[in-house]
Amino acid sequence: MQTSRKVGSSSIKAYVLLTGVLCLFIGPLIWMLSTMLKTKTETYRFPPTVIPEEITFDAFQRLFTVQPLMWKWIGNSVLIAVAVAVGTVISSSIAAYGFARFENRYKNALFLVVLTTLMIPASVMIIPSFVLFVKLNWINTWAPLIVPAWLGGAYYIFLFRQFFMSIPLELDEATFLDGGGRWTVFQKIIMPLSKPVIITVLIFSFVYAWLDFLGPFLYLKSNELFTLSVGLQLLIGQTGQDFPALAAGAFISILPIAVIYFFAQRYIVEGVVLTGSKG
Amino acid sequence: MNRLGKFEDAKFFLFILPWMIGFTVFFLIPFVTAVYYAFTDARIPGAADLNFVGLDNFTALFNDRIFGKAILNTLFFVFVGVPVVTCGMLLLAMLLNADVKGIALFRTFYYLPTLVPIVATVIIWRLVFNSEFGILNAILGTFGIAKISWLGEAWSIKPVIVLLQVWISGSGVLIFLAALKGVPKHLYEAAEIDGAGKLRRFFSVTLPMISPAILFVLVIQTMYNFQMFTEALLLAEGGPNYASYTYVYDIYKTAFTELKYGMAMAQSMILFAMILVVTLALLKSSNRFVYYEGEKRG
Amino acid sequence: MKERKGYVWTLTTVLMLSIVLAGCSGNSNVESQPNSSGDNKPTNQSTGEEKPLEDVTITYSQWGTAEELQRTQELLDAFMAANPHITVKLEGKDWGTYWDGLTAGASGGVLPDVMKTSFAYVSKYAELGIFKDLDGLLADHDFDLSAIADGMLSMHQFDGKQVSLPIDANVIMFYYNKGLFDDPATNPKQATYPSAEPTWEEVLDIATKMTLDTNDRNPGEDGFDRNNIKQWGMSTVPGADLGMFEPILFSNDAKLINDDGTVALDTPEAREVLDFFIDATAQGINTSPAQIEGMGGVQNLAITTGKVAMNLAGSWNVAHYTDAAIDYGITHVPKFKTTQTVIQPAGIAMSATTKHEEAAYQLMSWLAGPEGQSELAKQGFAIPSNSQAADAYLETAGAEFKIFLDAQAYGISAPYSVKKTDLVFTHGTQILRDPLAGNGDVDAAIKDLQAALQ
Repeated sequence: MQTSRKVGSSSIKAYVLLTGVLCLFIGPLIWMLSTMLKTKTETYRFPPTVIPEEITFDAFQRLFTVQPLMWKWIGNSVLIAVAVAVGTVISSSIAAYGFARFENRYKNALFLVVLTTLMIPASVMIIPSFVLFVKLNWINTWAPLIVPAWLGGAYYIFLFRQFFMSIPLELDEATFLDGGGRWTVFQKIIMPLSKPVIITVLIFSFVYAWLDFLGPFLYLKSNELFTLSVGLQLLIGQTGQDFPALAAGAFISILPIAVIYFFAQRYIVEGVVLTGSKG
Repeated sequence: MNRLGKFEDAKFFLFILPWMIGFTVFFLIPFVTAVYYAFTDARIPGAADLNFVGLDNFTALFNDRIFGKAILNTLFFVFVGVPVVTCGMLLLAMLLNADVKGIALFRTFYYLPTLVPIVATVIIWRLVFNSEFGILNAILGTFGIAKISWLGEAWSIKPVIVLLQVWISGSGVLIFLAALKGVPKHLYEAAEIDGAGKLRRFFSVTLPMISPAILFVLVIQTMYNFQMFTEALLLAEGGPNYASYTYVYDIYKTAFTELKYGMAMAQSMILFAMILVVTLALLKSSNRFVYYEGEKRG
Repeated sequence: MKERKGYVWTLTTVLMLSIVLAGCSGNSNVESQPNSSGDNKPTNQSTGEEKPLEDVTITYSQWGTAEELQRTQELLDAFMAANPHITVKLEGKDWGTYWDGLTAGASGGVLPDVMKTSFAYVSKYAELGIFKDLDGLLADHDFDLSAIADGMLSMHQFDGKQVSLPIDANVIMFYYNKGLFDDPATNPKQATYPSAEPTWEEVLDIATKMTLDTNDRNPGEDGFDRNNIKQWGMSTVPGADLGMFEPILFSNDAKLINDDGTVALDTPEAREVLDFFIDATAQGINTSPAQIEGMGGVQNLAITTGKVAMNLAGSWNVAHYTDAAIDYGITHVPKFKTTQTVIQPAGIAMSATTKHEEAAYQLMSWLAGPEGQSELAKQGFAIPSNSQAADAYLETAGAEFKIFLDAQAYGISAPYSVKKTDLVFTHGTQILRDPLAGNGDVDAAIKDLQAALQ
């Protein structure tokens, strides 16, 4: 498969394999679509039907009646994810500039700390952080979800730094000669040249915030402040027997990300690959 | 350049200030308070009335059967789940590396499940694996296989969760895919001239060349499996009979259901230590199997 | 132009830092956070007594399904109509995470002003100090406690203090889906409805006839296909909710837990009961935990799927049955020796840290007092705990619900210690659910449970 020669039979074999495995990956999503278009009674049938006998959108109506807050949750998720994404780009790029362009005896040691925190999974810190947020009076606010993003994330600092280091130093020096300082270099030279990585980090941190569950689940207590993920969890508990409505809820939570993905696939892929290339 | 000499260090700290604050506030402080709480009998986070109990929490955990089960479950996910998922990712990446028309479209769809929010993933999996009305049992039924309670049996719940991870393994697949693309073609050609078969080419060319990516994915997956929570909470509430009671789920239950926050923090400390040991061991052993370009192999 | 751009960056940085500082300084700046909870808003009133009619907003939190929350919203609307200066915000949670959420809320200082309590969790959370001691308030306002039965009041007391007020007299009952019985297609053997005080023998016989495989054969008949059951006679998963299962044990002189906190399921009387269900499940007459899981995971709602003829459930579940538009009948919990049930009164408690004590008390006394209880009774779904609302209940509920009041006579108030709560809700489901359905060693599981309770 690794060779570039295309032999007819081997490429047919590849298609068969690809399609077969693709069915396994897309199958559950199709099953979700099928379920959400069924009536409640049709979901209690065995053997089940894949194409609904009677296609209905009632599930969506039930979903929004049972949970009038659905729209609010979608809005909350968008707000939080945007705030996280913007904050991440600003704070991480600034810190990354520091690590990419300064020379002093602290830098390497501190950057090692950045890399070490990369090794500590975020969720492991979530319950220990609870006390801190209690003391800050941040429980049941969005602060624990947003503020950390405005204070630099190790992973994104790393991404920015890698990119900044690929920008020739000569550009910095030319600016210094013109009388510009560090900040000028950062905002006039580095940032405009870093659009690809900015977009990658923007999308990546947005998606990550959108997918987050444990944080909002633990810190948010009022239904009105919920994100879509936590709202869906509540929905499972409150209308667990209504399979079509649950499927509809799942569908709604996937939709925005899927749209972003289809339009900005390149950046998401880049973000993932950039991480891996660190090795 | 000399005008930059003045206040350079101060400027450096100014630039990294956001990160330093973030690191201190959201990492160091929680860590230190967690250590503090681990030695107390605090019932809830931030409790005012607490006593120092020395190592009591740790010794109690030593005799706690459910904690033992949580550790074993998590070790299963780390030592069985991680290799299985990583192999799955590698196979998928090789499949998606096929040089055929329309492959980009295939790649697009393979990655889609990775972007499904975990709660939605769980909803979908509950529908697919539903023992009574699920599509999976229906398909198996046509082969004469009786209904299986995938989420309700102690033997099947963990494999189902591992399978779920393969379903959302798109990021790892992408990393492998990029690594596979980076393998120089001439190496394969040389190996082929040497008479190496497909399998041999895979083991002597592909694997060594992508070993840095393998290491990376292994580390990431290991961490993910150490901190698994949502799957445990929503697929089967840690059951049946604690079969999917993961470590972080146990910490959560200890803190918020059993009202033993101090003990939950002791568990967190042990988790830190375990992650540290496993990650370091992984990195340490990596110089045996990871091949970096330009490096001479012994 | 260049200058301005610089300012933008500087501004952003300042903004960012100020967010951090705002965060670090805590309390005083909560208002600057994008979303602080309503409770934290500084209010002008000092005690609430000086200006009792000032507009206040309080939150009331309860667990429940969508249907149950809808009923509660109706009650709250009635309360707000009667008390226009108080706005009550309903926070609906799911049972699975309700109590964990209270723990988190209690530590974060964001408890709802008033919250629903379960008889089973009163001790556990009162011990944590999150409920206000109501004795003083009740005495000050001359609340008529005598209208609520002592047994129910005591289940909502801690250390002899009233920390929670019972608002309903829920009982465990037995329900059947009349639609399935009436239709020859789903009842080819013409099984009759269970009688009003059935024995388990009778129920098992009916359930056997109502259990059908895809060829309409019953368990015990030749060729009955256990793997292709399309309709089950009954659904009782003992281990899934031991609290609901308790009256069945009582009816055979058995019990869940001994006074010394040890598990009491290993007596011959208890084992007789357990074996009955293990056997019924093995035959396919009774649904297994997995089958219930497949039907949405709630055994009390099994008959709403149209796949199950009879199930054990609470009196509160009639709301679900009505909304699912099924035609159902009610009997007492079937008996081994004597007819028994348990009363499981839910209640309401006030947060120990509420800033709106007066308004919270107004809501509580309304919900637990004659007015709210009459409104509750008029909905026809819950049995009021307050005897002053009994007339309203009898008036509106109709003859078919009279059985709930009759059931009170068979009711045992079975108090919950912290240990019993752990047994039923924390460890029981994990350890016993499968063994009590014939999947696993019961004796070993009981020992395990004993060990888990220390």
